[in-house]
Amino acid sequence: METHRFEHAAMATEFVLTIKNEEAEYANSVCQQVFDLIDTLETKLSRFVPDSDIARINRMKAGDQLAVDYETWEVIKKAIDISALSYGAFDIGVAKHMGVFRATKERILTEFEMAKALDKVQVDKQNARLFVDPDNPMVYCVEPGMYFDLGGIGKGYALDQVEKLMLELEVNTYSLSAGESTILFRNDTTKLPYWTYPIATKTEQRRLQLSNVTVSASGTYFQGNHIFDPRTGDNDFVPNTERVWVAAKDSAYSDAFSTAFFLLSIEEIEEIVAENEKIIWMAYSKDGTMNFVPENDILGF
Amino acid sequence: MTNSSRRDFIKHSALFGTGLMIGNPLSITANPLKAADKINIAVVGCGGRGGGMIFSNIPKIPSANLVAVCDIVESRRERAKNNYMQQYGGTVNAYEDFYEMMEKENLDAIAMATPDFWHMRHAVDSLEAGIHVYCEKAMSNNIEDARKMAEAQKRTGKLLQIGRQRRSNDRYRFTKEILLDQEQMFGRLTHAIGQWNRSRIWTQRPSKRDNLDLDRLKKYGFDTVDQVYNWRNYKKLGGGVVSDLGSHQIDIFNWFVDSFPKTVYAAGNNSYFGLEQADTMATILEYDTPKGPAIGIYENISNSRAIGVYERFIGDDGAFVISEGKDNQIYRESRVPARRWEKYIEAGYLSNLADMAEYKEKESGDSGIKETAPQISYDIKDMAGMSKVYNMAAHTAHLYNFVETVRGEETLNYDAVESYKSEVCIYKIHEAINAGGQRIEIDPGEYEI
Repeated sequence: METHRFEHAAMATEFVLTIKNEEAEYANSVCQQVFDLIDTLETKLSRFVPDSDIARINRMKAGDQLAVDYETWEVIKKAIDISALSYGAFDIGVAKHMGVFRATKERILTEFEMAKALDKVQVDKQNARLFVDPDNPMVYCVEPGMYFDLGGIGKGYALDQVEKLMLELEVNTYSLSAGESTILFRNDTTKLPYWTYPIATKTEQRRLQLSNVTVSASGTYFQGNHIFDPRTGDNDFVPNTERVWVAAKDSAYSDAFSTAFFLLSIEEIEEIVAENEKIIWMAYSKDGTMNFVPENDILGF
Repeated sequence: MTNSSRRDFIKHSALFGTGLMIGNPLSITANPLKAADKINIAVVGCGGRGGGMIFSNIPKIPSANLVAVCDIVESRRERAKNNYMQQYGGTVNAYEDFYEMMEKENLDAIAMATPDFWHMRHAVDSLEAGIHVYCEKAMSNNIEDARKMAEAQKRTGKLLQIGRQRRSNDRYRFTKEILLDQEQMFGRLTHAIGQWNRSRIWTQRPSKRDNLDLDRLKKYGFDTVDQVYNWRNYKKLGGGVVSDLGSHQIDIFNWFVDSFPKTVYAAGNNSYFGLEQADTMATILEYDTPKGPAIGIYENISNSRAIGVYERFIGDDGAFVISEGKDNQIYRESRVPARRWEKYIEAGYLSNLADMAEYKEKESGDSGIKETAPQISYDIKDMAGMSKVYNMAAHTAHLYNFVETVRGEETLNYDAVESYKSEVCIYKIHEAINAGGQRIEIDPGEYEI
């Protein structure tokens, strides 16, 4: 089966699209539409693009209301849903916190100023009130102080939108990697039973057989041992695991839950996985050992 | 969502104290997005830009009532119709034939996102029929047709707005109205520099659902299926990279320096992709501005996205980079003391220190002896002092401005007569490229209708 591979820089990372079972010319045309869609979503969802919906939400003042794009509305609603399901461990209202960290890294704030700034930003966030209309793509600001960053869900949501486009284009067997941290796998099982992809801890590697699923990962290997916890507003959380993986039917959910699970206890994670049918399985690395929830030995080899 | 499940959800969300909830706040009851009198609008062309109008722009314009879509590709128009009705309700009719749509629908306005070569005929016929027109740029693929469109606007008195959306972008408008015209913040602008670099030329193939009949396509001016999807690559259908991309940005050069080029140098070729249209070009524009001479430098590259899309303006008191993407920054020239720009921060025009000034213990420089402080640059903050802030994405704002002008509530930000001047500039660049890089002089009278 011929394989076509395309790369594209967007959303501050590299997207890699692999298409099987299509003519080269058609695959090339499809890839342009896929990457164009991702670029368009970035202009709506990135807080760093001043004209994006998210940047404009972040500029809302008390009493303001804003019409947003359907996609922006949809991803915010998903984020609220996941925030509730993860006991607040997933939270998109942390852009100002991220700004404080960034300003400190760029030497604009001193460490002393950073600590005081974080306290104030967290209080402002707790006092903020933003409402999302459940029936129309509208956002209302009663009290500002919460600023959105979709870094933990935007790439996953983009993969969901690509999946819809691929259905329209009648492309059935492909994978799309968003910076290797969230990968969408789709396959016509009569042509390709599964995709094979490795996941690894410090001491072991497994090759998974993945069929019509999205897998996301979060870990400390690249971001250090102390990570930001939106529940406290501090960046001194020491996680229980070295890395987590989440497999879900919905890419936004796999992306966001992989962020949330990093902050939760194993007991909390097991409860969420048992109760949420969108999550197919999760895995975590602890002391170099790989563990699956639910326990499952048939995933790979 | 039912009322009871919504209440449950709000209760559930509120439990975690996120402050972000599904629901309508009791303290905000009036929805500004309601208009008593709506205008009936149709969108012609349901491809990329037309899709943007249908799904991103029109739903945010309360006074626009989408009643029809038109496209010669059945799957595109049906998809647009069905998805719109599914997402936003209402009734939308789909047409293959533009003139059948004009006859059957009771239209106040038509928004055109068709290939350039169709613009003149459809726009002029609509204006003559008393229908206002919003037309994507470029006005046409030749200057004669662009002129006919501007003349039709003057003759009929109907509205014709051209889709160079930066003209309705709040930040671009703020930069022009407040920073440049009112505050003269950058002194004399001496250089305008811009680029739109991308890594490929759009070469799309029909999707598997697009069942096209070549004989039928010929009726609409296309000789091949490829021309339907990639019309920008053909000289008889489109205007190439200078029209597609450069015209957005060179128009901003003209707007910000308050004049139009007196001479144009340009070179370009199609050596990378070998298509009919040039895939790479560079031009130098000479201006006599009200404040003195200025130079514009502009390039399109289609084999690399490196360093992206932006406009950059250099003045003797400061400089700025502006774009519809992430690249936006304002710089003060060192000869201008920081205290002279403090009034802009106090007025809410600008922020500095990455908008983190409120968290500084004291002003920059008084935070103690520490690591080297960063260079200070500025960003646009609140668009204070503006006659109107749309607070919409530029494409939505531009169409909104058109719709509200049809309703008598605004005046057009960018009508066809104003647009024609930048079109002249673009076709002079074409002329210079086709003449092998000649220096072309432009008589000021050529810009007038």
